[in-house]
Amino acid sequence: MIKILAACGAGINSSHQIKTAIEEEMENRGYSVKVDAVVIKDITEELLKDYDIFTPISKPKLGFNISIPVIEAGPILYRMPAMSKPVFDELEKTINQLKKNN
Amino acid sequence: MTNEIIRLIEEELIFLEDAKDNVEVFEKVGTELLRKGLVKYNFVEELIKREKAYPTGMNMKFAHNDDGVPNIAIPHTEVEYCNTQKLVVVNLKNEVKFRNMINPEESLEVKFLFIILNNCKTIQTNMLSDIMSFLSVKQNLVKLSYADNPKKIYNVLIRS
Repeated sequence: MIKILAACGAGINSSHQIKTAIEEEMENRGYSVKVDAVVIKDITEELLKDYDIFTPISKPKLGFNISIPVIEAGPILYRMPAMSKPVFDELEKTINQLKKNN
Repeated sequence: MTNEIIRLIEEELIFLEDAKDNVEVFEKVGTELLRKGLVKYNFVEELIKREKAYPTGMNMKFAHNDDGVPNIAIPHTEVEYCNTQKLVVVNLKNEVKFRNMINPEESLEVKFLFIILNNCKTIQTNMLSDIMSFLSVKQNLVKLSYADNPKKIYNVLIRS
């Protein structure tokens, strides 16, 4: 099970929309993923260690190094396949790479 | 727009503003919202802060591959600064710069604001996705760009 952390800048919980979209699309593509949605200000180095991939809306400056793959998931919010497909494709590529490394 | 979100739109909460930057828009509209009791006293400050740290501009020209489509932004604060659930719409007479949510280094000229007022954590996700669904249909944006008063804007929104 691939664990993904989605994050947004707080307020309207856009990370939740990203979570739902990723879970649905990855399942359609045949991958088993679990996505958690958080607010950027709640992210710590410790928290990130529990996840395989980080999917923020846009890459944030967290003040520490992010050691897991980062995929900017903002385009998913547009709710248009032309915008979200590249994100899902990159996600799939990363998942396959992680599986190979394990 | 879905029925759930149509309930949250009112003609009195559709504004036509002319401002030189997003801070000025927030001050003008925010003051009115405060006057109506819809937000807390520090709403404007929080809106400005949030926009600076996590911009909400969206590049609809790029999304629809059409320079004629207006760009929008979805400013909002965390739940504790709102007293209600409403969708406030602002038509900017002259476009105002907002930075791109998914590429904060990029500045966009924005024509419409969809300000989400929400004091309840759970309903948030629906408001955002309903707005995005509306915006994903190019025709809606085109119709909106021709709507130059609150009544016309209101009709475009509820008839979509």
